[in-house]
Amino acid sequence: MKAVRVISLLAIFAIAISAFAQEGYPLSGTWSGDWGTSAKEQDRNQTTIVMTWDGKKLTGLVDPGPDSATFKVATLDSAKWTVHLEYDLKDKAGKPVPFVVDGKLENAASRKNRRIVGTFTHGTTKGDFKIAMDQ
Amino acid sequence: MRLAAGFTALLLVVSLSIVTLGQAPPAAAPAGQGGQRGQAAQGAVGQGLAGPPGAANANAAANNGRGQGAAGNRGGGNGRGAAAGPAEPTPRWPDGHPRLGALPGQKGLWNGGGSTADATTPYQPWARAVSQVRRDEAMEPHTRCKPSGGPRQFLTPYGVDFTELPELQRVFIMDVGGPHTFRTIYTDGRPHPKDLTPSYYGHSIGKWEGDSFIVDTVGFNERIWIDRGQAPHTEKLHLIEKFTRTDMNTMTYDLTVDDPGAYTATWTKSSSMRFSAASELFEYVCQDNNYAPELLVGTGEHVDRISVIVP
Repeated sequence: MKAVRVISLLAIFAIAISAFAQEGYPLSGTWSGDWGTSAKEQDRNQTTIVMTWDGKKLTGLVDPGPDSATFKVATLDSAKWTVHLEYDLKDKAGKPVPFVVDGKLENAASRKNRRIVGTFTHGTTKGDFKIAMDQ
Repeated sequence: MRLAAGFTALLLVVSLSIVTLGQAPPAAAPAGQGGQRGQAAQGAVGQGLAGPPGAANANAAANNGRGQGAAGNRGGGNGRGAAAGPAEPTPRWPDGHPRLGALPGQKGLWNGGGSTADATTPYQPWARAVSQVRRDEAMEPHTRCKPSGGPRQFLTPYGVDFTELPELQRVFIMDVGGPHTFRTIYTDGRPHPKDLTPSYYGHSIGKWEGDSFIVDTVGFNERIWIDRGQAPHTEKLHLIEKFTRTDMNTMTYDLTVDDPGAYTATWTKSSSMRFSAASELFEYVCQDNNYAPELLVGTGEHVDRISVIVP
């Protein structure tokens, strides 16, 4: 019985999420995911990015809070659906270090599973980067 | 034995009753594809219609439920194939401006008029690319019963009703298709609110300029398409729609799209709506038998586009 309730709640939640699908500029909205040097949990770093399109420029707020950052460079190549992002993230010593993302936007105009999958470079550290749009 | 047979028969009757009450017949499926189109086609063939393919005919057949077919969008007749001839003049209110809807005591819905972007549209690159993806995937919010603002409101197969309430200084554009809802156009001279919460239909204000009804709309959200997918938009969208009823059966629809979030310049498009005098609003529940939930949370990945019409 409890399982049924949980499944029902999940179904309602899924429908509710879908109900708010974003159909405009493909990157506008809130994204969440993680990046890291390996798939091990201890190597992953959670991230949240809020992107805004003003008609000419894409701006972004990374990890809202005391350690937030803003985009220095952000481009979308809609011919290839590639995304390039640059911003500064603090390293372990608290020093801002350039963080560069090169990714591919998947399901660019679809309401489901829109995400950016690619790689990051943070100083000399490299790894994979993936975020999905919060609907 | 007799008891068992009786019980079995009773179960059968109950089962059939449940099926009957719980399931709409295929002809009433909201996809607007199978049954309704079939009915429309029968009616159309029988009456020799002059109307456009698909929309108006499906509308009429779905509306009367008997497949009698439309009166055509030209004749303004009684729904039984009145001969096409010169249209009657534009109906007018006592103050002289055209009536947008049906005359008192008569039926009438408008069909068509949603034409929008094309190859000449000044897309921003992303908007052109999104437009193409939309055409490929056809995952339109309207198929999931989302209210569809702007020109998309006129692109249902069932028509729309313009209801003018001069005493309230409002005009309502009522849909049959989609979520069976309506758009309110304020004609009392109010401006747009400064801090609008984006919504499906946006905020519309209207005024008369000569014989044209001008509707200015802002405040759209980005959860819908404003057409069949050709014209992506952002929350910066500003639409100006000009409705000019040139005779009883014809309304020109001039659309001006200003969206600096998606286009490099303002662009315009003109099309025409036609009056279906045999049709009127009827109950239609998009959510009933809608298969889009399977696409939302299931494994489905496409919409059946065998039909040219999505409700």
